[in-house]
Amino acid sequence: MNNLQSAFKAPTPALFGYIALGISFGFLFVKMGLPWWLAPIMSLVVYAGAAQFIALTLLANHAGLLQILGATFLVNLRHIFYGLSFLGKFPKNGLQKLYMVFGLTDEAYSILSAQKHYNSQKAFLIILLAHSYWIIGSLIGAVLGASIPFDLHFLAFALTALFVVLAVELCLLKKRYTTLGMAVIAVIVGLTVFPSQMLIASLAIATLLMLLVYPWSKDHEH
Amino acid sequence: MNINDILLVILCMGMVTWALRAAPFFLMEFFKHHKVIQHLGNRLPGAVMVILVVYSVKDAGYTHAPYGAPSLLGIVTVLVLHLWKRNMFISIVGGVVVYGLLGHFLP
Repeated sequence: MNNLQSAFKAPTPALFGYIALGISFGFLFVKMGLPWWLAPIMSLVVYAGAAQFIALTLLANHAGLLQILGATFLVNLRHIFYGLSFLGKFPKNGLQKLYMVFGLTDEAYSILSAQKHYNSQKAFLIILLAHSYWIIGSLIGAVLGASIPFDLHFLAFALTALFVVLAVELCLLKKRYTTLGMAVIAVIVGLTVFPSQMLIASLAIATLLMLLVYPWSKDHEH
Repeated sequence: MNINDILLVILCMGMVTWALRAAPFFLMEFFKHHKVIQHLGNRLPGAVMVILVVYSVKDAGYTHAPYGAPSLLGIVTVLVLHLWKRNMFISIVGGVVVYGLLGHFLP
């Protein structure tokens, strides 16, 4: 019970972001002409905010399954590195561990990394809460979208806002200014040279630049 | 698209996402011995976010009034709020409110 209470207390402000984002996701989901009850199901099964938004845009443009999976892979690629911090820390219990691995989203990762006294039972509850908020938010948004006439398309900006927050966390607050510089170069080249394939081109250019500086990086030592 | 196609998309997306999150738990040895993977792992996620920010607002209509002002000022709002408070909820809601109001009141 103690764990449950502190799980409720600790990460509340960050977790409520999930409700806000979930509402905008559910709303846009319905506005794409998809049935409302699928929105919470998608949030339950996929549980990846950015990828779910991108998939919506792709679905609206009649993209194929492979294209959507390719985008999901690229957008969620960063999650590969989240698990590295928790390799030895997750519980031995098989099912619980599988679920926690599944729930290692951006928010869960940042909340769990910030915990002073890591406790795997509490971590499990935090992940469970975050997931529930995301599903509940999607459901609320989908029901609102299906029933009220207001134009809430501006809620889609929540996605841009999420990307800005993560860019600040990962570049500025970690003082990775070279990374930021490379991303800016990649964006400029992507927009000017490959305007119709900007996303893929910029990602490829950024990866290439990082591989080029690898011999001079600190990771290269030891 | 029919319901079955969408359910298939949802299921496959879930599998890709889970596989990526589970990768380090299964490929521990591989990650440990490939410094270049760690090098990319430390840097690529931040760069991806910067690229996604630009990608998500690149079609905001910069050639005519209001010249993308809602998007640009929305981004500035999120930046300032997050550097100041470092609270995801405040940053996202603040940005969306500024974007929504500007979109409504600017010509």
